[in-house]
Order: sequence, then structure tokens, then C-alpha cells
Amino acid sequence: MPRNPAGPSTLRNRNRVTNKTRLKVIKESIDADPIVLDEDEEKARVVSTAGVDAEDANEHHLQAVLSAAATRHQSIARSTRAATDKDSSQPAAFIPTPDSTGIVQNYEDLYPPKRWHDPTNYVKSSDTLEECTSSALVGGFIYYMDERDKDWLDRNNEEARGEGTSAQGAISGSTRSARSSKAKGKEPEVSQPVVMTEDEFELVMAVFEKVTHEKTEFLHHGLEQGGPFPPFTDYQDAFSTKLQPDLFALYEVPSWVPDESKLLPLARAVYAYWRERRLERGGHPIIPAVNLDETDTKNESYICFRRREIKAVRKTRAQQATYSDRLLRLKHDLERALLIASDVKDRELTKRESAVVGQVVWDKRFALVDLKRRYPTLGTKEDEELLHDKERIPKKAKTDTSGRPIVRLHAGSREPAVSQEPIMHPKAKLEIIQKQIESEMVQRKEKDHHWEDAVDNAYQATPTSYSSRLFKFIQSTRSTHTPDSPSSPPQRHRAARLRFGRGGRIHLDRRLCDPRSSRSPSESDSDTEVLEKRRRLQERWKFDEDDVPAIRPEGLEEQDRKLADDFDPKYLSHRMSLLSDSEYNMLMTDTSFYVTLPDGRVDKVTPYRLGVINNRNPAGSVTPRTPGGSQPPPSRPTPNGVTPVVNGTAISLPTPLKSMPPPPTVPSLRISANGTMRSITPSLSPTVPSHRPSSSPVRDQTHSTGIQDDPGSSVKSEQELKMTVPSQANGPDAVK
Amino acid sequence: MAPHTPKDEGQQEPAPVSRGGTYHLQTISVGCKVFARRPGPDGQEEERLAEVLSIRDRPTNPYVSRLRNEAKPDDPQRPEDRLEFFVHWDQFNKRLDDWIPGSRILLNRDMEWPRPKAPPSTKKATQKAPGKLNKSKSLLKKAATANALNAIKADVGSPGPSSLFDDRVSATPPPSLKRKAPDDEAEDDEDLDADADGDMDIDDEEGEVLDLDGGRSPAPPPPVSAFSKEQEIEKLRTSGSMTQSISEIARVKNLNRLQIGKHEVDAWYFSPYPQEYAHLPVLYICEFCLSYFGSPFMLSRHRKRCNLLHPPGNEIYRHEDLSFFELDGKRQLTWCRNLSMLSKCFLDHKTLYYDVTPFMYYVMCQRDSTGCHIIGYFSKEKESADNYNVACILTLPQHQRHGYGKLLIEFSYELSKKEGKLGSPEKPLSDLGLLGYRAYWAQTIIELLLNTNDDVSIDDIAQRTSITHADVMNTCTTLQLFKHYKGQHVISLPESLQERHKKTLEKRRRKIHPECLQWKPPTFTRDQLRFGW
Repeated sequence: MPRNPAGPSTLRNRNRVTNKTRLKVIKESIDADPIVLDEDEEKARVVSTAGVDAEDANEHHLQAVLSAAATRHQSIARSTRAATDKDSSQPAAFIPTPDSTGIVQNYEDLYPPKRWHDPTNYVKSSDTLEECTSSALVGGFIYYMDERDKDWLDRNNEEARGEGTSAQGAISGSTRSARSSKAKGKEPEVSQPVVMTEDEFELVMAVFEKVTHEKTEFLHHGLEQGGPFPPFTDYQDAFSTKLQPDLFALYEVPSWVPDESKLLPLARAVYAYWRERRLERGGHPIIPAVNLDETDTKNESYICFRRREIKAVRKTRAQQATYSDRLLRLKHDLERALLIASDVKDRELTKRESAVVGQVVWDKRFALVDLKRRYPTLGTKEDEELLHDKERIPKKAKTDTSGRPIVRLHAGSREPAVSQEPIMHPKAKLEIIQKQIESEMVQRKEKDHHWEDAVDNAYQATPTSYSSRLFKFIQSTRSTHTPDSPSSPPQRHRAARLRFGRGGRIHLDRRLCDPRSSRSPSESDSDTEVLEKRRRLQERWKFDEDDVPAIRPEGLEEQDRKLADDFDPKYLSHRMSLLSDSEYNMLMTDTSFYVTLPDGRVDKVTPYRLGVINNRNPAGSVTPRTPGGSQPPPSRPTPNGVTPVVNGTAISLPTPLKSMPPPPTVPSLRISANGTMRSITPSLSPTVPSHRPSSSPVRDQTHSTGIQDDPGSSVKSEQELKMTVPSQANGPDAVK
Repeated sequence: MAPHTPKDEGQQEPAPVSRGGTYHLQTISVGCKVFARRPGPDGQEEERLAEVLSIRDRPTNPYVSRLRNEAKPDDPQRPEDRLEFFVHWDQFNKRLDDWIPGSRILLNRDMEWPRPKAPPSTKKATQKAPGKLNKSKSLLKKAATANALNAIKADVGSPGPSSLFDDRVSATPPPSLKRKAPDDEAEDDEDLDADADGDMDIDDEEGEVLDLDGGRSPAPPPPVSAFSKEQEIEKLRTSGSMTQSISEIARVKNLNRLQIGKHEVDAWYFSPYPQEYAHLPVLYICEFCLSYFGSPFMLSRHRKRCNLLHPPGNEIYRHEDLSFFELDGKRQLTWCRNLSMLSKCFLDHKTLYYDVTPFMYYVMCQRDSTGCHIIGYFSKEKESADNYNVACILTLPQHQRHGYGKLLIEFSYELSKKEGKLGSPEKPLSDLGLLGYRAYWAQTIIELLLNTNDDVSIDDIAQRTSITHADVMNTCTTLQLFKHYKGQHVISLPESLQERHKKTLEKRRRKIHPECLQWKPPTFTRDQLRFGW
């Protein structure tokens, strides 16, 4: 493409023209350099053919036309008048196309003129192709004769005419032979020629094709596998009854269609011919159709119009309801509306009835009053009652009290009582009723005492989650071995929960039983400042009910627990036989780990392991360093005579079994004891192994064997513990 | 497949070449490149490189024998004409691909064999690692070479390579064709079908990758810039009607001539009309319902029963004798399928892989007392993810060069204006499409600029014409409207340009009158857009 690279203007070209740049339009020729937005010549070429497939863009003719246009613009841009003149003299470049100039000779025969007149309004039409074709069968089954059909038809008609009556007489014979031949499985040429029109022929062929499609759609596959060709009897049904409107695309039987008595011979006459043609096509429809068979990979380029998969649609809740659901709901709603309407009607009818009755009563009373007026001696005092409307009163009461739903309930139940009662003054009656209501209300209130009124009180405690239910309480034994702090309430519970993390780590979550009460040391009672602070704290914690484990130590959950001693011989004897020693070893990880000693040496420490002789003392002889743990841990002999593995976590598991309260001889659990925690905190990981034995062996009571065998995880949990300590350390400190 | 640019050739190893005179017609196999005479536009013949895409015996179609052969029984022509070659002219559009008789092939010039593996008998020299080659090409060539090998193994003197395909023949020829045909003729038909299949099979087996760059880079890494068939289909699944991958399309034109209403035109490209109709001398198409028939008698029978006089949709525009009809592809399934197949004959990149339901069709018709004759149409996605306002656009070839194409384009933008959207035609454009659109864009933009006195931005132009920003920018660049003048960017419309514009305006006979458009943009619910059922 010839183009001036515009050397000096490149700097100016850096300023891009953006979509929003306002540009002045100059309609005169100016002498200015064109901006070459893409200095790269190659890029410019691409721009000129943007949108054309890269492969086609290089085509000779297209390039010729484009370059001609480019030179034209160039010349215009340069505004050299001479160029335009020269331009016109050039032979115009164009893209050649194949011949399209053929003219059809018999056009007027095929497309008769004078059939179309412009309607006044724009055409609106939604008829499909089938519906626009005369006597087309539904489903697009339209048969058009070709030359070969025409030949056959002509011959057939000639024969039929030539033989005339004999053809009619032979029909019965032909059916018989057809039947007998069917038994043989062959269809010999038995049909007799019958005169038929082209339309009739096409109709019969179309019906054949349609029935074949419906009954044996995969005829071609069947024939490939040597299947039989459907005999004429398969089609007899279609022709032996009158053709129904639903067979036709327009739902209307064309007037020229012969009735079944004439159609059946036609079909019989055509069948053999149709069969022959269909067989020639290998069982496919005679008129070729577009290949929609997606499995036909051999002719892939001819397959077209595949069905698109359904587009994924963003799901919304409204869309998720299926149509049937929506319709059901709609039906239900409508039915209810109907029901209400009919109820209203009933009510109004009843009202009218009562009005009529009331009228009658009124008339009677009127008559009575008249009578009494005329003969005052006749009446007794009681008759006066008859003039009153008894029902009024309970009704009134009802309306009075119907303001509150609860009351209404009882007002309804009172009604029979009212009717029993002797007549009394409405006011008194009202009072009684009111009293009754009041007492009912009080009673109700008493009854509801333990119940939350969800109607008036919208607050409902959130259900405790499963995980929070797993907190278990460990009875504190601190009071026993820290008698020096009498201030702490004897009933202090701690909740804890074991949880298994990734990689078999065990986490211990602790909860103080009551965060508020822990902050109430009595000795600072006098200090107003402290008091104030505590009050504030309490205020702050006031609604933090959920901070406390859901299940209180004194809660229901804890009450009916069954105690099971894991070390009951009953259990032990069963359990000890489950795994052999070697299996225990297999289950255990290599627990040894390296500890950097204070003097810099790295020491390999093997924690105590069941069944492995260890140079360290059994747990029993280790003196616990916990200041609180004054009693030595019990040396509980295990079946093989070794102290059970000591696990650091002395918390009940989320097992349904309640942890057994520590026996009095057993020292406090290390974790539950305050002092222990604090003693651990300063000493970090190196001290862990030395602490291990000190962690109480008690916990085995509730521990399942699986955990017990994993000392590594227990170490983890210990470290976990230490991590959590500082955050919770405040509480115990405050206690001190 | 692709027109090989000389540059391309230079960078790869040269293809094996048979010197002129050392080969004869029977040696030529699919994939070879030979020189052949081609009649030029001005009468004289040029010798042009052509790639052989298919070979067949001279067609002695039953219909030809029925209709014309009686007239000219001077059958055995020159022996070299017994073979016909389907050739793609180098650097020409595929629509000019043609069947040429063997006599037009210049045997005295060099023949280029397909590159990857040369048939050993002719040349063993250049064997290249197939992996390094453009894959699709290599595949095609591989198959072609296989053919060539077979051809050489087979008796060279035998009638032709058609015998190779006999074992692959599966399709029965249409009985209507077979009737009067002698056996050997029927076989010919089968060969042709099988031939086309053969090409597709090659593509199928492993040729999903097509390098779009056409080997522009020296050592084309096949998969990177490739547009695999799966990707293609996946893209088409949700939208679009154009294929980027030409490998998907059968390369041998399967139709010769189409009779549409009053006109008879040559087909340009392959179209998936039923296989039985392939290579008929003429396919007969009803002008109104676009149904297709193999024989004139069927057409005449059809015409007696067809009651359609206009496209089966709603007229949304009428001015003078032109009308536009709007059709829903879902409602008018058969009609729109017919239209698609017809237009595929003239559109290279159109794909009929998926069904027509997600498209609306806008058909331009000329009305006279016979009915509404279709002139052209464009289809449009009911919902386009890429903001295309046209999917396929076509003026039937018999009506081309009358300005109807521009009218169609104008109408499509008129619809976009009504919708209040910017739009652009779906890519890739054909060469003719590009020219048409460029002309329309240029004209519209210049017209707008001449009628404005204020400063405009590209955004203004886009909003007022519904042409997308990119297209506006592109057009202005090609017209070289942007100038740097007195320290600022301006749009310059020199007088010569205005003159030219005036001339084209005079030449233009028709334009769309927006006031005649009675149209509301069709709306579809989500469920309807989920392609139906």
C-alpha cells in the first residue's frame, strides 16, 4: 500500500484520537499530513481487511480492489485534481463471481403472474411451509412426483383403462393372494392397476412415507441388518379407514380425497411400486431429506442443523419453581378464592334467613304487644321477656372481648353457660363475664409461667449448635487443693471440648463457665472503682449468654448420664484383645523428636511408648512440677504391667459417656488446675517431654484407645493449649 | 486449502516437484498443484497455478443423458477430457474453484506434489518431520499422498483414481438418477460422493487444528494460534453463524447450478443439501418456499401445490416495490433451513452446524404481480453476546451489483437504531462483504459529517449511525479523514472526497426510509432463548 510514512509528523501522531475526542470537521481541502494511526505498514494492511479471515485477506482480487481504493483515497487526501481524472481512466477493479445470468424459460408456467396484490396493510403471516402446501400431511410429509413416478403413473393409468372392468373384478382375488403371500413372507406383484390422478398418487405415497416413518423410523438400519420390509398389511389400517383431518397439516381433508373404499385399491396398486423405490433408497425416504443424523460421521459435512444444547441459564429462585408447581399453586389459590366466595355467599344467605326470621319474630311480638295493649289483663310479667332479644347479650359480650384472641377463645366456650343462666341484667352479666375473663387470664398467666410467649416476645434463643453442645464440664477440684483462696466460689466449672483438626491434631477449646462471675473477687468489694468496673463488665457481658457453653454442668444433659468406667474389667477384657502389641506399634508414628537442650546439644527424645522399654521412669515416679498437683499421679497398672500412655489432654471427649469425676486420690487435671497452666507457660517446647509424664494419667478413663495411641497428637494439643493460655490467663490472674 | 503465498513457500522446504513432461494426467492426485489454463476476464487465457482438490470421471449424469445427451451423441471426446479436476486457483477466492477438463492442465509445466511425504516413485528426497508442519495442511497432504501412492500402485492406465474409492462407497445414488443410467455411470456418482467424504474424513481423523495464520510464521507452532474444531463448535453452541475454521467445510463444491425462480446461477461454495442432490447439473429451488428439487418435473408438481407468495413471516417494511419480512427461525424452521442452505451456496464462512432457531431472519423482497421475490436477506441473533447486528448477509447472486447489498446493510443498521444499540456484522466477513460494508460505512459517515456543523467525536458518530466505534475508527482511517492541522486533530473532508461522495449518492437509486419501518424489536424471555424446548 503506497503511503507516506510521514516522518516529521510521527511525534504529533503520538496523540491518539480517542472515542471522546471532539474533532473539528473541516470541509475544505487543507494541506496537512494525514495521521497514520498505525505507523506499522503491516498493521495498516490488516486494518484495511479487518474482519476478513486472515486466509482470505491475501486473495488477489480483494487486494486489487483494496489497493485501488487506497490509491484513490491517497489521491483525494493529497487533493490533486489530476489524480481523480486519472483514476477514472483506470479499469475498475472488481471481484469476479461465477456466472449468475441464466434465465429460466418456463418461468411463467411455474410461477403464474397476477396472483399477488399488495394488501393495504403490511402482511402478517405465521403459516409454516406445510400449511402453505396443498394437501400436505402433518409433520412435513409431502410427496412430489418425479419423472419416474410420472412414467409409472402413466403406464398404470393406461393399463387400468385398457383392462377396465377386469381390474375391478380382480381386486378381491388380489387381496386373497396378498394375504396368502404374506404368509410366505414375500410380496409378489399382485396389485391391479387403478386409475388415479397425480394428486391421489402423491397423497398415497405421502401416507406410505408417513406411516413408515412413524412405525419403522429406522427402516434403513433394519434393512441393512437384513430385516424385513414392512408388508402391506402394516399400511392397510391407514387406508382402510377414512382419512382423518389430523393427518393433514391444515387439519382439513381436501375435498378431492377419495374415501376409503376407493383409497385402499389405490394404495394397493401403489404399494409395490413404492416398495421398490424405497428399497432402492436402502430404506430411506424416497425424497432425500437434509441429513440431520448426528451419528452419521461418515458424511459429516452433510450433517447440518444440529440441535443446540440448552443454554445454561442463571438460576434464580423464581425460576427454580417448575411450571407445574406454579400452576398447582395458582390452582390452589383460585380454589381458595372460590371457597371463600362460596362461604361468603352462604353467610349472606344465612344473614338473609335470619333477617327474615327476625322479621317474623318482630311481627309476632308486635302482635303480642298489640294484644297486651288491648287486653292488659291477659299478660303476665314473664311475657315481658318474650319481647327481649335474648341472644343480643352474649353477642355483645362477644364483641366486647373479641379484641384479644385468647379471650375470644373462652368467650366462645362460655356461650352455652350463658344460655343456661336465668335472665339477668345485661350489665351484671357483663360484669360476670368480665370477671370470668380476668380470672381466666390470670390462670392462663400462671399456666404460662414457664413458657416463653413467642407471640408477645419475639426473642427466641438461638438453638445451640451441635459444636457448642460438645463442651463438657470438668469439675474443678481446685477448692480442695487450693484452700488458700477461699474467695473462689466452690462451684466453679470449666468447660472444655476436644476437637480433631487436620492431620490428627487435637485441639482443646476451653470455656470459662461464667465469664462474669470469675471477675468477682470479694476482697475488692469495698473498692468502688473496682465495683464500678465490675458492674460495667457485667453490663458488657450481659447479653453474651452464648459465650457460655450451652450445656450447664447442672443441666438436663448432664443429669441422666450413664457412667461407664472404661477400665471396668468388663470393658477392658474386651478391648485388650482387639489389638496385639505389634499392631499397636504399627499404629504408632515415630514419636521421637529432637530437642535443643539449653547447652546447645540436640537431643533425641523418644516419648514414652507403650510396650517400649524406656529409660525414663514410669509416670508414677515422676514428681509433678505443678504446684497444685500435690498428690502423686496414680500408677495405674495396665494389663501388661506398664503405666498407660500419658496424654496431656485430660478432658472428656465428645463421647456420649460422661466423664467420670476424678477420684479423690487422683490429683487435679493439669489443665484444669490454674497453677499448672501458668507453670507451663514460661517453659516452651523443650520442656514438653519432661512434662509429659506429669500430665495426668487419669484421662484414660474416658479416652478411647485410638487417641491414646497417638502421643504426637497429644503433644500438639499441649502446645495448642499453651497458645490459648495467654488469652485466657487474665481470668485466673484476676482470681489471684 | 490456503492459497500459499510465495513467502510461505520460501520458508519451508520446497515441495517435491515433477518436471514438466515427466508426468501425465493419471499421475495427478488430490493435493497436487499444477498449472492450468484459465480464461481471463478480457478473453485471453492465463496460466495459473491451481491446487487439485478432487478428481472425477467426466460426469455423465443421468439427467444430462436424459435431457441433453440425445441431442449430442458425439460422445468420445478427446481422451484427456475423460478426467475432470476440481481445482482451487492460487490466490483466488474459493468461489472461483472449478471443474476443469484434463485438457486444460498444462502437462509441460512443473507439478508440485503435496509437501509432507513425496510418493517414493517420483521423489524420495524431501521428507520432513510432519510435526513441524502446519498440521491441517500436512494431514490433507498426507491423505493426498496416500492417494497418490495408491494411484501409482494401481494400474496407471486404468480409467482413473476413481476406482480407488470403490471400497469406501456407501451411499446409494438417488434412484431417480440411476434409472436410465448404465452401471458405470452410477458408479461415477458414488465416487463423487465418496470423494467429498474422503476429504472430510481426513479432517475428522486428526485434523482438528487449523492454523489460522496460514503459515505466516516461519515454523508455525500448531496449537497456539489454532482454532480447534471443538473450540469452534463450542463457540457456535452459544452464538454465531460463522465458522473460523474452514477445515470444517467440505472443500469440493457439490452443486453446479441452481435454478431459483426466473434465474439460474452457479453455486459458489459447498452446501449441505442432501447428498443425493450433489453434483446434479441443476438443483431446482422454489422461489417462494425455497424447497429444493432434483428434477424439473418435481418442481412443476411442487409449484402446483405451493401456495406461498411471500416469505412466511411478517412484513415490517414496505417502500415502493421493496418489502422486508421478519421471520423467526424457530417458527419457520423449514423455510429458514432452506434459506440457510441456499445462502450457504454463496457464503464461504457460513456454517450450518447448528440449527436456525436462535436467529431472526430479515428477508428483502421485490414485489410484483407474481409474488414477493427474494432478493437477499440477513440473519440476526435473537441475542448476540458480541453485539453483532447481522449474522449472515447475502444478496442472491442474480441480484448482485444493483445496490441491494447496501440496502440490506442500511436496513440492518436501521434496526439497530430502533433498538438503540450499536452493531457490527459477525466476523469473518467475506471479501464482497467487506467491500460492501466499507462502502456503506464510508458513505454514512461522510454524509453525517457533511451535515454537521459542530465538532464531533467518534462516539457521536457511532451513536448517530449505530456503527460501532471500531468500525468508525477503521473507516476514518482508511479514508484518511484524520488530519493534524494547526496543532490539533481534525476531520478533514476535502472537496474531492465530497465530489466523489456526491457521485455515489447520485448513483444510488434506493435508500431505506425509516418511516416505513413498522417494527418493534422482538423480545424473548430467558426460556425462549434457551433454544427452544
